[in-house]
Amino acid sequence: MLWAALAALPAVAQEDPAALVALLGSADAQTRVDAYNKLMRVRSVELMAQLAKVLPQLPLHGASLAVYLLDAYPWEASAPLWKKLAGQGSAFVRATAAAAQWRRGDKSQGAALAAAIAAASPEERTYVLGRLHGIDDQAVVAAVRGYVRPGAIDAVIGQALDLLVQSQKGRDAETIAAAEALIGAGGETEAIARAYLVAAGEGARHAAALAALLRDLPQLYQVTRFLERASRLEPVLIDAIAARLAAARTEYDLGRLVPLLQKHAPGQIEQALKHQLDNGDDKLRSAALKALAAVPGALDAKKLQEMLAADDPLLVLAAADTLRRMDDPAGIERVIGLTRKAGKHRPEAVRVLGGFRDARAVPPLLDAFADGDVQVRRAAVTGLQTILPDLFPYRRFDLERAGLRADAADAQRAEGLRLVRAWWDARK
Amino acid sequence: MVGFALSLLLGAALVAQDAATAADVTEPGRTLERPLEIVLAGRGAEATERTLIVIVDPSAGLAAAGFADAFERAVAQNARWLAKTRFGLGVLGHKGCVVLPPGAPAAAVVAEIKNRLAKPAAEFQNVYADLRGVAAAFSGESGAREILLVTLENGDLEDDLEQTAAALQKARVTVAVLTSEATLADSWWVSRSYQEKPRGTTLAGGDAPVIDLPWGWLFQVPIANEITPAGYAAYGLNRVAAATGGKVFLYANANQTAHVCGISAECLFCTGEHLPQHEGFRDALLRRMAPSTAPRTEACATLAHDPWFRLVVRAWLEAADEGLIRSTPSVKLVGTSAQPERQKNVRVLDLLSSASFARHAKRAEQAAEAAGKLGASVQSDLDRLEPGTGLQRCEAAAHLTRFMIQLSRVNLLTFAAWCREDAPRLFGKDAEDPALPEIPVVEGDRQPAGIGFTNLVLCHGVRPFLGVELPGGAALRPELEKLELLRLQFVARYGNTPFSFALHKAGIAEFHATFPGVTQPPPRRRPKSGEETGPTTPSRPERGRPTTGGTTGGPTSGGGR
Repeated sequence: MLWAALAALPAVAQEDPAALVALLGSADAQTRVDAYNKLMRVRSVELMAQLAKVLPQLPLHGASLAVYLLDAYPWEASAPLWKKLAGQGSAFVRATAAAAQWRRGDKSQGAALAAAIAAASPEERTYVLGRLHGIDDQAVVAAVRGYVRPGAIDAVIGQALDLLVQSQKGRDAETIAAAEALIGAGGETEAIARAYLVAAGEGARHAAALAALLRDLPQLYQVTRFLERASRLEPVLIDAIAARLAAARTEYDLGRLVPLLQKHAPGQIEQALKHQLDNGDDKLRSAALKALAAVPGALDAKKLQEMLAADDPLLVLAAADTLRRMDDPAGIERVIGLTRKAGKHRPEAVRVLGGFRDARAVPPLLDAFADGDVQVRRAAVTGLQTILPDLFPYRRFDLERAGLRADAADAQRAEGLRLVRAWWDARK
Repeated sequence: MVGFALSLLLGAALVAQDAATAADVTEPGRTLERPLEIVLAGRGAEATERTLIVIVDPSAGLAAAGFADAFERAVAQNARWLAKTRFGLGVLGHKGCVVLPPGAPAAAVVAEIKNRLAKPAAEFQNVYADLRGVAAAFSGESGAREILLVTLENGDLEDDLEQTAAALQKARVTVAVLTSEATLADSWWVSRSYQEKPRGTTLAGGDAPVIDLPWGWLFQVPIANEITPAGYAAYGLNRVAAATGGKVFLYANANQTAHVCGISAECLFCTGEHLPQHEGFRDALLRRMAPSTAPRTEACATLAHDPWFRLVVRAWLEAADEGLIRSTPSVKLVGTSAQPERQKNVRVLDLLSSASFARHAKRAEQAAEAAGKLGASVQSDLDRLEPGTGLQRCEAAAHLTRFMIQLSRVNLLTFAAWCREDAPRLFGKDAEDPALPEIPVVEGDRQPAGIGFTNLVLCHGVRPFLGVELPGGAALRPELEKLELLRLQFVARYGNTPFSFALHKAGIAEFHATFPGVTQPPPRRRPKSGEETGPTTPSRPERGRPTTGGTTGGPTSGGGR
């Protein structure tokens, strides 16, 4: 009730840090994120104390944002608050406080942290796991291993195994046993377990079964995150990855599978991706092109230069971007032309132009910042934020403070653009 | 000068290009499976009588690579060819090395390897002493005698290499080595002479018998010699394999093959998506750059006659005299012979230790002038030599040395300009804050205590830097253009070799002021009685393994799977 009332506060009141802190508890995700973004810019001792005070009462989503805000304060300032929070609130808050102190050298927090991990509700677990990076306390490792069990949420199992891989230096027989207990669960759970086991060096026993599961798996991330770590993959698994790549229907899948083959069987990428170049989906086609460009010999510079003359803007952009990555800026003029041509390709054209660390890219990026489409403006700002410090390594820039924010009000954007243009013209 | 040029030309006639090199003993690939398949299956179509002692270095890297499982699989798959093989097992660091004498069942060898790799060790191990010990274990064994030495970490710790080779030859033992890739003319241990090591040993580790490429150039961090994959193993291991008619297999895990522009250096021109065309090694080119596997004394004698190497040594010494490099040659040339030599103290240019910008600028300008003269003189010698008149490896080293002299000149000029123009603008009395979108480089009114630098890596070449605002401005441009010309000529000759990789890991320095920090004295340690634990074998410090050039499976003869 309280949170709902606070969320309904008028806009002026919402700029007040105290009110913004309260909005972290809003049921509306966008309201929470907006409050978080604004609070990130405030930074004060009072705000820190306020955050610590409300943290134990905040709902989980809000508490996780409050914790990120507290993370931004120096340890010397926030240490007393973390100590105070160690015994308060939800398991997530207790775990966060104990983890912060453990990381700063108080190893006696291991037991409290392990207890909080064990006490976390299923909803809290993924948030708790997110706070444990770099902690190799054996009690904590054992508590995290407790999340790897039949019936647990797949995302939690994947995250827990990933954390265990990072915290263990050699082979971890207990985690291997916990993962093996998931064999037979079927679906994503079993695929995650087998992928972990393959990465743990048990490929000979699990590769074939994982290859079969891989064919119909809807989401690839939980599996590929482990396969990326494997020092070798069995041929049967490589074949399954290649087959899945050939049948990929989303750019995301391409992005997960290509790096795997690049590491383990680069020779198979070309064959797997060839027919994707005829795919009707523009994004998929250009992603396939980019992936092929990374395979030595699959596409040569001459072929890519020919593609610069193509009619399809996305193909041109992919070719120009790939040539740029190969130290050939031949496509820059074509890309500049595409940033000025109306069409769905414009955000991508501006993004690709931002990759050229070339003074010729700056004026068109400034022009793109004047665009009505926020996506185009965002790509322009990102490009300028990259190019300017690279072209002027002995200078420092704050484009946001100058008013170059893609989502700023029209007048602020116009003033920012005027200012940066004047600076650029003075440099010439 | 004329005398030097004559000695170059005379030497050229005496250098043989067909000496035994690491290319003759190095097998293609980077996996565990292929070497095990080749070594276990033996050389004939049928099982032959032989004794095979596997010597394992139980390091964490070997355990993580899954060697025990791979070995078990290979034994099962090659059972037919192993019917007449008498297995033995040695473990580096175990007293006498031999854990299971010849005649042990294959299953016992597998079990013991698993057992040893479950408790990995990190101490320095003298591989060569253990090899000599194991040679004696073949006494009385009939048939072929073979050792499979598996060591990813050791091999750089040497005692008496030639005695080892002689002992193995006398025992008629062939040594196959499975190891990791060395770095090009590695200077890691020479630049860390303080490293504790077992008594009577020397730490070497590079691919060549001696460090044949100058290292430690001014304003270069990290040292290219320490991060450039050589395409070959450490010299000591190559030597043992060559002397016994064996082979060397390299292993790298798949995580070691991705491209990164700068290792501890910054790249201005990409955010990790670079697809360099000059980096992946090509077999034929790599072969031409392969280091010698001859005994060190013999290899030194060959180098002494090599005109390119003599040029490198001369340039190296002069660069050290001018403070452009912080090392000296590892070989001393005496007439037409050469002998290994320890590092000497060199003149260090004091350019960074205080905020005396004007004084530093003057020194840097003088050093830049000296670099210019040295560069011109080296270029003149290079122009006089006919390509192909010596070892190609030395030829590449000579051209890379020329490039590094010019890069040092560029860095000194930009440093002097930074001291003269940028630093006063930042810290002078009339220093003004810039207008937005710029913000002050230094917050507050802190006063600098010294100068630091980072490297802007040359992975994308020099040309993109022509569009970058660097201290020195227009005056620096012709020097950068000269540098790019040298790079292009170098890449045309030696692209896709380790030498090209090393060149592109060098960088243009970016300077910044450093400020006094708040320091606390370390807590004083007081020895307590009973704390002494007695002498222990020094542990091997962590060192990032060199990564293979290119995006495919390996830089060398075939690479990959």
